[in-house]
Amino acid sequence: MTVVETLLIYVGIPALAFALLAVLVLGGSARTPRYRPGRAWAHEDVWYLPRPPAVSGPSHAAPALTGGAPTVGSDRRTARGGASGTW
Amino acid sequence: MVPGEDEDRSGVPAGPFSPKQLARLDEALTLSSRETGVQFSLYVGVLEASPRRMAEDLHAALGATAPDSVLVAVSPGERRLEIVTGQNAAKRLPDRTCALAALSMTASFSGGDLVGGIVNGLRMLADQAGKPSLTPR
Repeated sequence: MTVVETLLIYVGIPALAFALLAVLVLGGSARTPRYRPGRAWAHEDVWYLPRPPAVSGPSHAAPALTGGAPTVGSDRRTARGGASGTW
Repeated sequence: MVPGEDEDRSGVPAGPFSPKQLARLDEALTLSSRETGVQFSLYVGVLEASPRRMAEDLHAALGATAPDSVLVAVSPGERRLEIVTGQNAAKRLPDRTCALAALSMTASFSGGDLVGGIVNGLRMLADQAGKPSLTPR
């Protein structure tokens, strides 16, 4: 076995396997944003509503929400109960 | 791709969740709302200085559906969770039930599992709310 062959087998193959594993591990996690408690939350505010039931026509019963910030201090309170939590 | 477009996105990421996580959230929200007749909605973002007040304002912004709605508001930055129930929804989901769901959710959040906590919390709330009654209100 020549020096080049020895190097390829005992250094090249492990290095290749290591690089492949590194790509699989790091590449997978980089795409999914992960929440870590205590870190700042730098994302936009999002508000999700349930999908309306399948509709045949273009209109459905749920009214469209108006955009913009809610009016703070409005007299109309709709909240009746609930719970709070911290972590 | 335009180089500037990528730079703009790096400042504020497009959304906090991956497509797979979004699908889980969508399924949880839609199924729990459809099973119970209570409209669940989820807010993830800043809740400002008085989180309860802000969450109640958001609930009021739901408009005509607010009495039948439950708002789950999560502020990961401030580590704060608020569950707000409307007039009709509160009859199905008393405060004690909401507190239990909130406890379960915050336990998951403190472990870093944001989506799992939300999905399990919604499932708990939906299980407690039960099926919609057949008698009209």
